[in-house]
Amino acid sequence: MDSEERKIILEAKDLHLCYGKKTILTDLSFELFEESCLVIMGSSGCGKSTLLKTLTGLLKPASGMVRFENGDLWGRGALPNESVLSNFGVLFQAGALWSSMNLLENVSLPLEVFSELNKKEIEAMASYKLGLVGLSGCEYLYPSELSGGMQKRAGLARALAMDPSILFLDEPSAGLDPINSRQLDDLILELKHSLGITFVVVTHELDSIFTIADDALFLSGVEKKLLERGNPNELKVSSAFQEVKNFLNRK
Amino acid sequence: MKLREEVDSLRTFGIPAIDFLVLPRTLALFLMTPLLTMYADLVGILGGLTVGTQVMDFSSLHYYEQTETALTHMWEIYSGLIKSLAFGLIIGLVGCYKGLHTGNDSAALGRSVTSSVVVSITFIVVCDALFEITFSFLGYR
Repeated sequence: MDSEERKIILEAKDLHLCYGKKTILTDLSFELFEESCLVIMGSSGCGKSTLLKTLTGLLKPASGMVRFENGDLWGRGALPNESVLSNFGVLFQAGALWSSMNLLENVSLPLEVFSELNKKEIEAMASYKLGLVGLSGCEYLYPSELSGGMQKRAGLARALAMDPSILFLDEPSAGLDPINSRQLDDLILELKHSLGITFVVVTHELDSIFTIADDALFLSGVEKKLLERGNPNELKVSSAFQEVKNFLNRK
Repeated sequence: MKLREEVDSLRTFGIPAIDFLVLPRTLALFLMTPLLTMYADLVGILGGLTVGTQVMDFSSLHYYEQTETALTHMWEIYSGLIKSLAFGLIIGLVGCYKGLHTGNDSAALGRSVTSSVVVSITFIVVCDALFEITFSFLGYR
C-alpha cells in the first residue's frame, strides 16, 4: 500500500528535544500510519527513549508538535493533552507493573479510574485483556511472582486496557531470552492484525526489527537528527547511509 | 516506584501520582502514627514495670500508684498523641517528596532514602521544639 493511501494517525513536526540545555534531537518530523508498526532504532544514546517519552506525554519538547487526529498532544502548556493521551498505551522497558497489586488489579486500575463500567464488568474486561496476551489463570499473581517475559506480557495487557489506538513499546525484548523475545514479537504481530492497533516500538534488537517493522526511523546520536526512514529490509541493502547499513548488518 | 517506571506508567494513564501515591501514604501515616505512639506508650509503661519490679525491687502496686499519679491529667499522653499526628504528616510528606524526586538508578534511590530519613528527623526535632514552646506559652508545661 502506498503511503499516500494510508491514513496518518499521528504526526510529529519539527520536534526539538532537549534535557535542559543539552540538545538530544532536532528537526524531527515524521508520520505514523494507521495499523502499521513503526520501529525507532539507532545506536545507544541516540535519543530513542527520549523521543518515546515525548510521544507518550512524559517529556515536553522544547519546540514542535505531536498531532494525533485533531488534537495536539503538547498544545496545552506544560502538561500533555489528556484527551489525546487516552488514546495511547505504553509498555515500559521494565514492565512498570504496580508491585503492590496483582495482575487483575493492575489491568483494572485504568478502567476503574476512567471507565463507567461496574466492578464485575471491569474484572471481566481485565481478564479478557490478560487472556489476549496469554496470561489467563494468572489474574491473582503479583508482579514479583512472574518471569520477565510474563511481566512484559502483563504490561502489554495493562497497556491494552483502555483499547488504545496506538501502543508504544520501549525495548520490549530487553532482558528476554530469544524464545520469549520471539514470542513477544509474534504477539505484537497478532495484536496488530487482530485488533488493528498501531505500534511504535523502540528497539535495537535486529531480529525483532526485521520481524515486526513495517517502517523504521533511524536516529543518529552524532548528528542528533533523523538520519533515514524506510522499511528496514530495504534499508539493510539500499540505505544511503553507511551508519544505517552497518547497524542493520551488524558490522 | 520511580526506578521501575511505575510513576511514569501512572502519568501515561493520566492518573495523578499525588492522588494515587502521596495522599493514601500520607493519610495512613497521619492516622497510624498516633496508634503507634499509644502502643509505644503502653510498651514503655510495661517495660518500666518489668525493670521496676525485677531490678529495683518496687512492688507492682507501688509502680501502679506512681504511674497513676504521674498520669493524673493524662496531658503527657495527649501531648504525645497530638505531636505524633504532625510527625506522621512530616514523615509521609518528606518520604513521598524524596521518593518522587529520586533519580533513575539504585544509587540515587539509596541517597534519597538516607536523605528522607535525615530530613524527616530534622523536621521532627524542629516541630517538637515548636510544640513545646507553644505548650509552654499556653501554660500546659
